[in-house]
Amino acid sequence: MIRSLARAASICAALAYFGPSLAFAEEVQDCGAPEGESCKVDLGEYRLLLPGPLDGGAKGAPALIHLHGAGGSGRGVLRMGEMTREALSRGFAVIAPIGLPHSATRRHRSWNFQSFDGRRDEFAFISQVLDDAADRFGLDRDRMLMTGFSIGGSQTWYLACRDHRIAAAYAPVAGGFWREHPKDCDGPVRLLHTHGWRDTTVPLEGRPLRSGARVQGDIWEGMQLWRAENGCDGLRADAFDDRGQFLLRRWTICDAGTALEFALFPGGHGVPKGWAAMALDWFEAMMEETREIR
Amino acid sequence: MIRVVTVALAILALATPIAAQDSCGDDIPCEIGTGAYHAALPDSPESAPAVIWLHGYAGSGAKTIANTGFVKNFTQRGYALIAPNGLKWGGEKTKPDWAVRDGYQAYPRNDLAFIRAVIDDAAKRFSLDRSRVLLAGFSRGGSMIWDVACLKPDTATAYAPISGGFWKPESTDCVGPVDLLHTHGFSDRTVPLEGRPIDTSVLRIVQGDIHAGLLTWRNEMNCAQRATAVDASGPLWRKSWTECEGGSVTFLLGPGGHGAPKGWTSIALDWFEALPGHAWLEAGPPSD
Repeated sequence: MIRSLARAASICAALAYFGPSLAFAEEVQDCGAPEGESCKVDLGEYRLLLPGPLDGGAKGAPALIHLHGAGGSGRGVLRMGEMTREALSRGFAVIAPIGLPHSATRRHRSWNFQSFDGRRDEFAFISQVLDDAADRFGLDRDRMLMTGFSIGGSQTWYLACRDHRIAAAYAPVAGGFWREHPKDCDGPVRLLHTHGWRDTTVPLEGRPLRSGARVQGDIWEGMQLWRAENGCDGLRADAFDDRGQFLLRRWTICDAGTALEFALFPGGHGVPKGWAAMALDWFEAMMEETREIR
Repeated sequence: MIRVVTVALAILALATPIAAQDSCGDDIPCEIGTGAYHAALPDSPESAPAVIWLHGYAGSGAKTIANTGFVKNFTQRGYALIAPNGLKWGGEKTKPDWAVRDGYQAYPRNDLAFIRAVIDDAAKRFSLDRSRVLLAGFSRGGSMIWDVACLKPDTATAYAPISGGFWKPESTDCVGPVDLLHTHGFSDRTVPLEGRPIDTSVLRIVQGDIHAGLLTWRNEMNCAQRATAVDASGPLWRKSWTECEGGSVTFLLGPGGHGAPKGWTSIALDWFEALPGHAWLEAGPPSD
């Protein structure tokens, strides 16, 4: 409700600024084409791919958001062939928010989720991106799957923790909380975490960076917090599965409307083959259930 | 040929070693004052290394030794297999168990002392090498090993529990470094990696989180946070932390459920034999 009001307000503001009716048509043509300009919001930029023509062809489409890893880019995300093919062929838009340079001296693009000290509030930025994409292209704001890789995966954990309503569900890869872990999150989530056993960049157990100035957290321990948020009182996973190279564990005896899964694969630090199909299958099945409940 | 040697030993408290003229065998356990164990020896037991095997809940040393396929895995590599009996802690209707620290105080024996007494007795009785003793076991036996390693780390040379870890309230401060090889099944529902609450007729007892327990071990030994070796080339995935102030932690993850994964014995013995010598081991077992 608050979100749609805010959206309506920003539309009014845009109309007032640009004058009547032409504003939308111009903006749509300004961004959204793969080789075109990035889309701009107050706090930054994003790129996207649509499953249909720019002018209304993606109306009502769900979206997969992907937050790039350190040194990545929006263009780079759109070039992730397996992920974008899987998403587009299922009628999903792909949204690629663009991180800001880490610092004046270390220019690689990254995300801020612990101490901001004047840096961008990524929660506000991503919120703007998703609302903007929904407004401009008619995407379904209620069917957005937030994903991310490495530090983009960590950012996904922190967004879900800050306010789980920013997206419908979360499928981070190879990134989680950093030390000190949050002690509490906003509420229950629908989350599928994927991680490689042989990951030595963001190991499951974490690792200190820059002589311990910052320390990656422990993924297993982070999952404890999600279990607590989701009311999974039995501690243990209740269902096990394997799918291709993935060993899956699932907590099912939890609060209604929540979902929690962990997919372990034998590889290292990367988005593994088969991940996009697994995550989208998971998300689509959940959306189907939600529709049935409605 | 496996020699199953059996000795009836009177009361340990008398502290007088009794020559092995008595025989304790397949059905007759070797008795010490506080309990009993079974033993299977290799062809050349003189100075042989030993594996002490702690059975799971409701198991027994007799059943362990009766499993000839299992026993051969050890004896054919020159190890003695020593299999102590857990106690039925609440009368004949209850099942053999171990004194795992789980908040339940009913268990009548000090198993930290008992297990050490078994090792000392077997080493003397069969002239085994007391400085090459691997304490291994399954499920509740595995949990007992975590407690022994944490609270009495000089009991054995190294520790190889399977499918069992700390119970709550978990120990978070252990006495000293150990070499630990922990093995667990990804889809274990009986002792799941995350732990599990169990409501008994008396109180709720709770299995601890295995990953949290392994972190306790690494912190205890000041291991570098990042694993020094990671492997997923076979069915058992492995992570080792060997850059520690003392001791080491190796975690073997199998795809299966509650049980010892196939091939575990040879992996565990390979690991044991490849351990570097440590000062606290070379000093020999403490005399008490």
